[in-house]
Amino acid sequence: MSATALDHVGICARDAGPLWARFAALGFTLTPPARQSNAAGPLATGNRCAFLRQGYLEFLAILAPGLPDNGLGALLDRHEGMHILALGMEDGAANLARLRAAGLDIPGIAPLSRPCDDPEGRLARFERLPLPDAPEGRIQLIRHLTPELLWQARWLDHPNHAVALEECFMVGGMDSAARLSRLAGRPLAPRAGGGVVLELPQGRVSVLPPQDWLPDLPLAGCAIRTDDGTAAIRRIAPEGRALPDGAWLVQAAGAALVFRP
Amino acid sequence: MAEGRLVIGTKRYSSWSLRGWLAVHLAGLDVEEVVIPLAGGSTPAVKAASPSGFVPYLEHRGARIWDSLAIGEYCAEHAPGLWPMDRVQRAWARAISAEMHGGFRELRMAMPFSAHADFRGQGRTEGALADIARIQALWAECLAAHGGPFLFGAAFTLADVAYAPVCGRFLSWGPELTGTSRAYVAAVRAHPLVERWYAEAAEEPRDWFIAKYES
Repeated sequence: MSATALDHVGICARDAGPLWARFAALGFTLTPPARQSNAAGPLATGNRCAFLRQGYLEFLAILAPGLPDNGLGALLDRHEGMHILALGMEDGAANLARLRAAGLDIPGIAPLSRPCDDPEGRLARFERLPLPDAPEGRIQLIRHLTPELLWQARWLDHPNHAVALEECFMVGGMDSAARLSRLAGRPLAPRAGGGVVLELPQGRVSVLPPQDWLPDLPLAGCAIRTDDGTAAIRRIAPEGRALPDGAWLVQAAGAALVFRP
Repeated sequence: MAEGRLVIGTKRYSSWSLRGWLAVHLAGLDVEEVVIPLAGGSTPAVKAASPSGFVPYLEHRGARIWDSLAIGEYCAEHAPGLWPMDRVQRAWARAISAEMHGGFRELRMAMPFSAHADFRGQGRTEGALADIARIQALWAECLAAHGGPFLFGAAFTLADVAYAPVCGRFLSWGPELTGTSRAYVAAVRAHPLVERWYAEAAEEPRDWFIAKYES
């Protein structure tokens, strides 16, 4: 009943057009735009996503200013960039019980649904357990109730050869790391080169001191595995720079993307 | 006839007493053991028995030593092998022992020592988890450098004494630990003296139980 995977990260901007255009230009195959809603009605927000064979990236923006934005506007007032970190879980009720036992005041499992360009009009459905009042951003556990509607073959091939979301990079101290450990129900371990790492059965989250290659933001970037040794992304984004481990670093929309061979 | 006495608190709850008791037994000091039931603080009985008003307190051949760190150093005068022989390792062991002695307050507040209680899943405050992360990091560094099963290799040193109650807290409260930490906790728990402490704690009278540390 602990977090099982690095499920997705969310990169946010006020204007959808430049955000989505930037990631399409980086060689991601994006899902169609999807407006979000909750029980009270439509929200101001909408997203497109890049589904990888393991994990995904969400690109979230405000499409209809004036409608309730579920807190996104306040996050964007602080900065544009990565504001969402979601860890996968398998059992919402058991994780809720675990978090309550750990002393977290969580009212319950939050359901969420959104359209997903399904020919039959079915909605993608999720269960969420958000970490209350996390200063780092929207940090949560998530369970996919309809994964087959999201990980569709037509969205899994990317011109940049991205195949897996491997790591999320946070910049912060032990307080941030401890909050994450508490939510995930998994231990922190020292990370080679500094900071700590939260290892998951699939993927990991690293909490690092400020780095020259990362924005100095709580949620600073992510690492993406490619299946072509980063050849495609080096062609697509020549403005990037090489990292010592053979990875290719690209800055986009306030987040650092590390493409790994 | 015993050459002194060691005053300790209830074995179920007194983590500081465990440290002093382990050091005294590892050094082989011949002292009488005096156990004072705790009542969640410095009671009149403890104040009467110890200059500081706290346990553990050791009297040995005219020496009067309170505070578990000082007791450990006194024991090491009699049994130098309680600290690692190597100068650098000895300094390292002293440093992490002092870090334990003076720190990790959030862990101690959130996950008090209770030898036979089962609080698994509870107590995970952010402060406690930050302390646990630091403890796991320093354990991992020591174990990797010295090969385990204890922090400075095959011998159970005063550094392990310092962290033995932490292992006990982890066993009772069950925070998520790395495999390296779990192996270390198991090694400490399996040490014959730690095993004896737990067995004797289990035999303490029920009217010594303190409800808030049992459920």
